[in-house]
Amino acid sequence: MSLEALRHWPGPLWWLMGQLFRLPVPWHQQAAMYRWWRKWFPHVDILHPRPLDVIRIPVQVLWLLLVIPPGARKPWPRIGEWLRRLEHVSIGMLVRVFSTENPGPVAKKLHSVMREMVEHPLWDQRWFRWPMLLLGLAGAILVVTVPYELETQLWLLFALLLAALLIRRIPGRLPTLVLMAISLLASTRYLWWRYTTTLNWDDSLDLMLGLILVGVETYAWLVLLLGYIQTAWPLQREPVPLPEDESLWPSVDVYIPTYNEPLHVLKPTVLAARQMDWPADKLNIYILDDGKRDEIRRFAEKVGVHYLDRPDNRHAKAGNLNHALTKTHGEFIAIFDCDHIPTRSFLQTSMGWFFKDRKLALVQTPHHFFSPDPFERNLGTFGQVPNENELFYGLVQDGNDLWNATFFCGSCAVLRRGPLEEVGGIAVETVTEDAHTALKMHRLGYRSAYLSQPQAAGLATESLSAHVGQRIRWARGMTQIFRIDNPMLGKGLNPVQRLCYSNAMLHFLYGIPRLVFLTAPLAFLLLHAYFIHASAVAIVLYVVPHIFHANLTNSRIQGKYRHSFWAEVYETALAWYIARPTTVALIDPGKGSFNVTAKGGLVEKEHFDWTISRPYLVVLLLNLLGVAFGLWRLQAGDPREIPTVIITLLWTLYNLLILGAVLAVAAEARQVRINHRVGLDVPVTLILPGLHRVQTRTVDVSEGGIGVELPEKNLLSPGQRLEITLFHGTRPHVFPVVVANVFGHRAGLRFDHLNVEQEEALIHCTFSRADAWLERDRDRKADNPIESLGEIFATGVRGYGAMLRHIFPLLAEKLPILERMRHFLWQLLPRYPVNNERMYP
Amino acid sequence: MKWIALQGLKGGVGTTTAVAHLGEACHRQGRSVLLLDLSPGNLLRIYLGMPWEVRRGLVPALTAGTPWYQAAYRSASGVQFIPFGVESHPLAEQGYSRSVLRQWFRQIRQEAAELQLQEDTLCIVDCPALGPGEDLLLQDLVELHLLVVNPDPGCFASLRQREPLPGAQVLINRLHAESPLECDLQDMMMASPAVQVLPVAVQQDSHVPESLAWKQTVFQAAPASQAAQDFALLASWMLSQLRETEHVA
Repeated sequence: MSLEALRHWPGPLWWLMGQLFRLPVPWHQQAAMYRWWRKWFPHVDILHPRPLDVIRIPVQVLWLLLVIPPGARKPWPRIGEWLRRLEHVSIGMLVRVFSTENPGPVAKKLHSVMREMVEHPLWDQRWFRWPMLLLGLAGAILVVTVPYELETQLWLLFALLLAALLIRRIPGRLPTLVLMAISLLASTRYLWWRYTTTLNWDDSLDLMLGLILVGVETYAWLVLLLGYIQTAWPLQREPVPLPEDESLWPSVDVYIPTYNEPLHVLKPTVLAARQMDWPADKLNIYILDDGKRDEIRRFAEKVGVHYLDRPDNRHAKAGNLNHALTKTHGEFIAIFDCDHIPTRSFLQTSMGWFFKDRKLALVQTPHHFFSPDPFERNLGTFGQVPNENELFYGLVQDGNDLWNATFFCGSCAVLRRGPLEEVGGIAVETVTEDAHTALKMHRLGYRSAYLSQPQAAGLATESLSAHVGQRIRWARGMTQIFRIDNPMLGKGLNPVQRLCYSNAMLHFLYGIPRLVFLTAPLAFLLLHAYFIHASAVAIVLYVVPHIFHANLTNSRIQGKYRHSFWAEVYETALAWYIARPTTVALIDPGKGSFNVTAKGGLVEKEHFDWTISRPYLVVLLLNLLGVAFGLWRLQAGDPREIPTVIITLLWTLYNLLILGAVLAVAAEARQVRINHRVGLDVPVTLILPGLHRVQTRTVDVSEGGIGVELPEKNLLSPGQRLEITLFHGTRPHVFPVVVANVFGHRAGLRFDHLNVEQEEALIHCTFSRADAWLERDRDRKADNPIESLGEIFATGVRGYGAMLRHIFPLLAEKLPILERMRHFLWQLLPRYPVNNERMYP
Repeated sequence: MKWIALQGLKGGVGTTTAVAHLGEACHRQGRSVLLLDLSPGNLLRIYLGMPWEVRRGLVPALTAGTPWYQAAYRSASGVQFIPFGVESHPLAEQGYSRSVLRQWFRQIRQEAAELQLQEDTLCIVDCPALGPGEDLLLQDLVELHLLVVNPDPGCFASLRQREPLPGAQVLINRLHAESPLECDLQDMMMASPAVQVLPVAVQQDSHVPESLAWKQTVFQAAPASQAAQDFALLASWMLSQLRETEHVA
């Protein structure tokens, strides 16, 4: 109850007296009353009453007395807040069970026991090792294939579950391998059971649907297995120092290919590349301009870098690089996309390994993005939930590195010229020329390395459609390689390299499987097809360990780089779009077309991308229909079917949740700036008139401006011109700025006509600092499956909200009555008290 | 006690400013501080808010034969200091020669042990500017001897002519960051193998003279100013430096 409203009771009392007895009330009392009224009844003008106030006032009184908690600011607590409250009561316990923060005494003891077992000298004896391995394998086959009674299966479920939950708490890599083994056991047993007992060979529809589902599940199992192999032991390679003697350092050509990206995107990259720490006579920067633009040529001349163009534009980026390869002579080639700004330490960090390993042909570093990709922007998860990329650059490539299977990603990498020329330059047969080139070099016995420190950063794709376009290209290209240069075939690769490459390619075939999983329960709910020919209890007993262990294990392996269940969101959102191109490429690798991804654009208006989300809206409608059918079946169907209906409904609800999150992706949030702001916390000095220097810290920086904290509120005023000093080491650099805006203790400053030297210095002080991207995930917390599910749930709800919000205006256009009804109801609703002291009639 | 001396390469480079501010900064970092003014200009006290008309200080105390530490004061913010004082000493006729000042300092350093000061008190000494051909005033008598310079061509040339100055660590004061010349000179001083330059330079900041006009340091009058941050950083560096020498010893 809101007691605050009652504190000022004399006000309304006075007013009432005045009205009833026509007493002369002093004017300041009247004003006070009026203020009181406007605060608590903001939508009722007491001086000009309207008929429906009869409803409004009592509703508002009830609202104030019963609903609004004292001191609250928002009428409805956010979903997240509700979740948190729920969590405190019940989910909190679950969260603790799934937390790995405190290993506990049992886990610690197990840890040491495990170590002792593994380090036992018996393992070095061949007579012991091989039989043990065979024994283990035989045991595994037994566990997978022996049919159990349901009760026994239940005990197996409990045993595996307890073992996994316990082992999960033990730190180290060995327990991870054990978890993988448990997960593989559970999943393989599930698949075995599916193949042997759950296919209904008597009904053709059931059988067809069942085969489709089991096929898709086999794909998922294969990717799970290959993924475990790929990420079993990330190498975490450290940089190797360069030789002391600089004369031994080789010459490096830096290629910056560009096609149509505007100069302001290209400029920071070129300036930063020029500043990389490397002997100046051995560093040559080349802008490879397929756009053949005079503006770029002039810029190259001005800043003193080479400019190359070519007569044709054959083979796009690959052709562009290959052309440059014939024109330059450096021993090594560093490649940066035109929007990947390298740090000054890039070459010093990455070149060392080439001295240590003469067969090394490639060093790849991560692609780090300082702007949110469309998923992050639209979901509002930037900096909190690892994005789609991070699993690949944080874990997969590092895991590949152990098996010498890290592949080239097109940018932020150094290649040795010899091997590159040996394979005929960058591959042109497929649209993912980078991975294909690496594959060719691996086939010749060259090695690759991966350094997981971000040494360059760039812009993520801007709009959802561009992002989707880029993923389509990757998916298509990888499928093409799978077809025309299959890593499982041909010579030169070792078995694990084959598996790693295959997984990289198979991964992109997830389109159809995802769609099947999204629609599979409908086959039962709508068509009443028993595509899994088993009792509900049996399904639960087999599928739960399969899904549970796979998620638990992946949460442990990927936790830092991908939170649980988010893969579903990312992949589902893309599934429809990559399903067709990958299938086409799988059938005929030459077909289809390929678009360059546009960067540096701007989503100008908040909107809902109906085009992108259309297929999901259809699936959504089908699922809703399925839920309706399911409810009907619960009510009117065969009572023996009820457990099956419930399971299928739960599956559908989970699908609806994921679909909600996918819809949230389609609600495009507005972007306000072309120049992306990057969080940056370094000292900055404001030089105020009369050489008053004030030191403070920066908040964020972009090419166009810088955000600073203000020690005092009114230190700066908008429009004011001043100079600021940033440091590059101990060297101060001064930049002229104009104050763009001031909000309390924050001010936004816009750089005021920087010359080329100043722009270069600015990049020096900000983007190309060697430590610029090292602390990228400092604030991020580790994965917890339960919390992650909560996040997905909140996101899903938001997605539906966004869709409804955007759907309403569309409907209202068609049906004006709707809008009028909404308006009518809206004006009767209670309002939140207004805290504004200056509220006069 | 730890003893630190600051001496200007020439007059007017801001030595007294540096002494007062470093003292204040160390005090703010929780160290017990005693500032000693050995400079006949007697200006240190102004930063610490001492009234004009009070003439007492080190020299009057020594002249009167009273113990020197009876001339110690405590500023409003809690920094202990001993002003030089205005009374003329019999020795003043020779212009407070180097040897006289050194002798006084020796005496003070010896007797300071008797004082009821905290074990780790930091004593920062303000020395008169370096005369032509002189060595550092308190060479070999202090743990850290800082030579204050401005990053201008005059100081740069003067520093080059006097190199090497054994025991000196160069503190660059009043750097105009917007002047490429001064930044270059700073870089050149830092690159020189003959002298050791502190990693932190104090930037020119109008807040310093304005604070002095209020008889305060920037820590009171303009805590957000660049000068306050620079001196605080410098104090941290100095303290860590002293701790390191302790370890070595």
